[in-house]
This record gives sequence, structure tokens and C-alpha cells, in this order.
Amino acid sequence: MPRRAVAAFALALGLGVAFLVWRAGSIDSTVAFPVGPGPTPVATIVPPRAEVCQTPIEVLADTRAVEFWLRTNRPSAPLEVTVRDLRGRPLRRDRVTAARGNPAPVSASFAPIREGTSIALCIRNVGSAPVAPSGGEQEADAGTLIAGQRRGADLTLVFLRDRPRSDLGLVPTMFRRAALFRFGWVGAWTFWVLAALVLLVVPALCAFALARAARDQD
Amino acid sequence: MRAVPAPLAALLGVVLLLGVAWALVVPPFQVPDEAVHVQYTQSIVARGELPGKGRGVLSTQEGFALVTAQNGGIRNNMFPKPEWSERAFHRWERQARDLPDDDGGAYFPQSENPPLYYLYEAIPYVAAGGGSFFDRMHAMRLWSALLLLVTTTGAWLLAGEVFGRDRVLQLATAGLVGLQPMVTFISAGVNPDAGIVAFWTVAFWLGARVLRRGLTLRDGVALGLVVGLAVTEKATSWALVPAALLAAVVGWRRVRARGDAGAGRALGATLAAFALPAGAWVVTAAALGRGVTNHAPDRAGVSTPSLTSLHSLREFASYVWQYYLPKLPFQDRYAPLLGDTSRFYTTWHETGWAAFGWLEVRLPDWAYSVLGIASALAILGGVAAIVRADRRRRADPATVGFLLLAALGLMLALHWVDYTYLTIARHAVEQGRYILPLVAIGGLAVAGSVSLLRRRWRAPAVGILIAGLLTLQLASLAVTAERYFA
Repeated sequence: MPRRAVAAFALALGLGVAFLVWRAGSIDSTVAFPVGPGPTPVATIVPPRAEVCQTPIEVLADTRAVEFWLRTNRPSAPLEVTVRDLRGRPLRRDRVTAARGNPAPVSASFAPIREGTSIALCIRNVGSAPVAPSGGEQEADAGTLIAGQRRGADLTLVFLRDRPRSDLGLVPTMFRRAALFRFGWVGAWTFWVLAALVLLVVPALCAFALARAARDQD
Repeated sequence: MRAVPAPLAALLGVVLLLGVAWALVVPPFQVPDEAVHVQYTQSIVARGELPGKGRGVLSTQEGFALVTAQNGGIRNNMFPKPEWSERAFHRWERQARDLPDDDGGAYFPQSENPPLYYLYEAIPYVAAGGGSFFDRMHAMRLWSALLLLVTTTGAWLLAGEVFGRDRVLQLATAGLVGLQPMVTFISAGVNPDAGIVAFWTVAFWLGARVLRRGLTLRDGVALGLVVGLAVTEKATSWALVPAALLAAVVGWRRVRARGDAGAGRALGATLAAFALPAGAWVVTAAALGRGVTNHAPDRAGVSTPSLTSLHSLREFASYVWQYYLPKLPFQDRYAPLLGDTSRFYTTWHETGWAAFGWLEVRLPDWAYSVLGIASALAILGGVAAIVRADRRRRADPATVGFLLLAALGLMLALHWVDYTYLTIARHAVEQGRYILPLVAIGGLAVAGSVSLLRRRWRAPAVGILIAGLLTLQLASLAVTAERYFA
């Protein structure tokens, strides 16, 4: 009986884990990192020929595109998206057009920017009508600038990777991120050790518990 | 002293490892109300008093930690992520060094809670005093996760009283309780629900023991003390008192029927053991000008429902009916529930099984349907097991009544609170985690279902159950990690 119980456990757990691994491997994401509170609220109004900059932004993963959301009452709104360093020097630039929407998503692409760089992301309204990018108060140590004036709100931005990565592929990155704001001694290694314990020791202990319980019943 | 049975020891190892995993994976402040629960303990240690009359809700130290770790705020918003930047973390380390920790403790709804859990949490808070705020907070989480071991052990012992020394059925009961993902998530955060689940589970064991063996001095004192401490841990535990009283009185009658002269003394000791901690809290609360239980806020122009008002009772009955079932023709529609046809499913079932973070981190919808079918089968199986045991004259109606009364007491208390808040503020307060004190009854139902199988199929069935629960744990950890760190 213990053998049958452990076999049923192992088979069921094996199927369960295989399903989870398949799911984690098949969910792809192109998001490198987000900024701001999300697409719904409006960050600010950008008049014609004005520029709004979100600064500073720490690039938390390699990126080569940014997506943001914008409201305009025109059929299309031409925009210039510039990535600058913190001194204001342009590093990358793209021209895009926003469609009418409430809000409409807009994507700008540029040459890759490496993780660890500090940048400002600026959107210049080169059209003739005001536009309203999405955003709101979110980031603790950042905000927007319009004509050099600091505003409280943050732009909502999603920086994108050059190619999608699965949840499974992101595990090392996730462990590195999870290690922050824990015990001082916790690092990504802690999560690797925990993962090993949960995936190896936990099933072994469960199998042992089952075998002993079944044996006692015999 | 008897050794811990090997299956239980192994299960406790599993439960501990998963508890540690949850304590470290969930970002700070992403367990419901965790910030104010931490503040309660911080207020006790740093200010030397219970919260309610401090300057701010959170201390400057905790407020800064919260804003930084949450990257502004991520509660109930799936778009932003917690702070991922190591630079931001090191900046916080430098800036947070000398921030005051004694300027919090103003009134917040949870500051009305009784203090036992927070005193318990003061131990790791003080012990980790040489570290940062997050060292202390995670020490509190791990300390809280130890309560999960109490809960699991309590469930094992309860099953031992109900089914006898049947290790497979004990493992089924304790396995469900120790591996239910919401129980682990809550227990591994800073939240007094960790304590109430432990207290209720142990009280169920002691109550079942008193009913099965009769009320002895030792068991009576233990039962009284556990229930008395439970009401100083969370006010909801007053709902356990009628069931405990039933167990004590029936246990006393059974001993007296055997002609035991010490029966009366045991009953007196049971009541005294309850009155000691509960009375101490009542007296302390009165001396401090605090309520013994939590109160709904007063709203101008809105009358608070009252148990002495016939109108309130009638409307409450209508509310409870419409919470679970379609309105009957003669009933008035209870407006705050309007359009919500499956409240019991979305609240008790979905957020009772798996709703992490601030309830927004969920499994896929189909998973709740599967869990719903499994839960229904377990309940039906549990009922069938009781019916079968009754036919064989092996069921104890008093034990069934004791557990049912406890369940009914809790549900009535929770619904009364929900009805009160809905009436005065149109604000539903119930969450699935509030019924987790009954998880051991769920464990018994599962074990009862297993007991319906032929003996040789029971252990494999428990194997599949444990594998399913482990898969659920892994899936829950995965969706949590994905939401916050991917």
C-alpha cells in the first residue's frame, strides 16, 4: 500500500508540475519594466510644440522600445519621442503618430539601451492641438518636467524588450528583484536555495509522510 | 513525552518550508492590511501603548519604507510593480537610518483589535532590533508562519479524535489545513488571521477531545484557556464561545453520568480558564477606554443596525438569504447586494482559496471552477461520511453539533458585520480569509470523503490530494512572483 500511495502522489505531482512548467514556458512577455500608474488617469496636458519629460528613469532591463498612452481629439497627433541622458543630451529619437483614442496606445522604437543607464523619456507634441498622455502620481523619486517645470505626476510608460521572454526565462531576473527589501542577508541565491528545497525536499517529505501513514494503516 | 508521529513531522517540515517561501516571496505590505498590523506592534514596542492615540497612522520610518518598497503604491493596481531598483534600495538604506519609529499609532480600524497577536509579534520585532525595518518585518512574518505549525498539528490531533488513530485520514485532514494556499499566505504575513486560524483549530481539537473523553480538569483548562486567549487575539473569536460552552457542558454531563466526582470542579476550572484571559482583556480595555470588540464607524443620518431591532433582524435575515440564494417574492430586495448574484462564490470560495496580495493576484478563472467542484465533492463526501457513521452508530451528534455551532457562530458574526457595513457605508468587508478558522472542518470533510473509499484506495487518494495541494501551492507562488517580479 505505501508503494501505491507514493506512486499515485508522484504521478499526480509530476503531471501538476509538468503543467505548471508548460504554462510558465508558454506565457511570453515583451515588457522590460513599467513606469507610472497605468493607462487610465491623465498625467498632464501637453500644448502644441511643448515637450513633457519623465525623469529620471533607471533602465531596469535592456530595452529598445517604449509604449505609452495618449488622448487627443484629432484623428492623428504627430509626436517626437526622445531618450535623453540626465543632462538633457539626446541619445535616441523616434517620430510617431498617435491615433484618436481614449486613450490610444503609441509605440516608439530606438536603438537598444542597456540596463543600468539613467535616462529621461521626452514626448514632444509637434502637432497643432493639445495632447494628454496617461499617467499620475506613482514614482517616489521621479516626475515629469514641462518647460523645465517639475510636475507631480508621472507618465505611464512601458519599456519593451527586443524579443519576448517567457516567465520561465525570467526566473533569474525575478529572483534578483525579489531579493530587495528583505532581510539584509537575502540575495537571489536565497530564492535558488528555496526553489530547490520546495521542488526537491518538499515532495520527498510528502512522499515520506504518505509512505509512513500508509504503512501505519497496514 | 510521546514522539511526534513521522508523517506529521514530515508534513510540518513541508509546511514550514512553504511558509518560509511565502514570507520571502510576497513583497512587503502585500498581505492585506499588513502595514497597519506591523504598526500595531511597532506602536506597542516604540511608544509603549496600544495604537489609537498616536500622531500619524504609520510612523515616519514605516511610511518611508512602504512608499519606497511599493515604488509609490501598488495596492489594488496590477500595472505598477514594487521597487526593482538596487540603487533605490541602497538609497533607502542610507536615508532610513535615523527616521523616527514612535510617531505612528493614530487610529485605524485595526487598532481596535485586541492585542495578543501583536504582543506575540513584538518578540521577533524586538529580537531583530539590530537590523533594518525590513529585517524586523520579515522576522515577524517568519514568526507568524510558525503559527501554521500549530494549526497543522491541531488539525492532525483533531482528526485523531474524530477518526481515531488513522494516520492516513489524519494526514488528509492536516494536509489540507497545512497546504491550503490562502492559509499559508495569510499565516506567513503579518496578520492576526494567522493566530485565529491556529486558535480555532486547536479549540476544535480540544472540544472534540472533551466530547469524546469527557471533561477532565486538564482538558477543560486547556479548552477554556485557548478560547479565552482567542478572544484576546481577534474579536471574531467570541463566536467560538457558544460552541466551546456546548462542548464543556456536554463533556461535563458525560463525566458526571459516569459518576466522576471531579466533574463539577473540571467545569468550574474550564470557565475560570476562559475568564482569566478574556476577563483580563475586558478589564484592560475598559481601563484604557477601548472597546472589547471592533465597532463599525458611526455615519451621520444612518442608523446602525441593532440586534434588538426587529427591523434590523428581518432585514439581516433577508440579506443572508440573498447573499446565497435568489430573492423570494415576499422579500424586499436588499439594495447593497443588487446585481451581485454569486457573492458567496466570489467571496467565500474564490478569495478563501486563492486571492493573494490585496486580493488582486488570482489564479485563472477555470482553476476556481475546479476548486469549486472539489470543494463541493468534499462537503458532500463529509456529509455522506457522517450519515454512514450515524447508521453504524459510530457518529457522535455532540461532536457534529459542536463543529456546526462553531461554524454557524462564525458565519453569523461575519454576516452581521458585513450587513452592518453594507447598511451604513455600502461597503462590503467580507473576504474569504475570514472563514479560514473553519479550515480544519474542511480537512475533516476531505478525510471523511476519503474514508468512504475502500481501505486500500485511501492512501493513494490522499497521495493525489497532497499532490494537488502542492501543485496549487506552486501555482499560487508562481502567479504571485509573476505579478510582482516579471
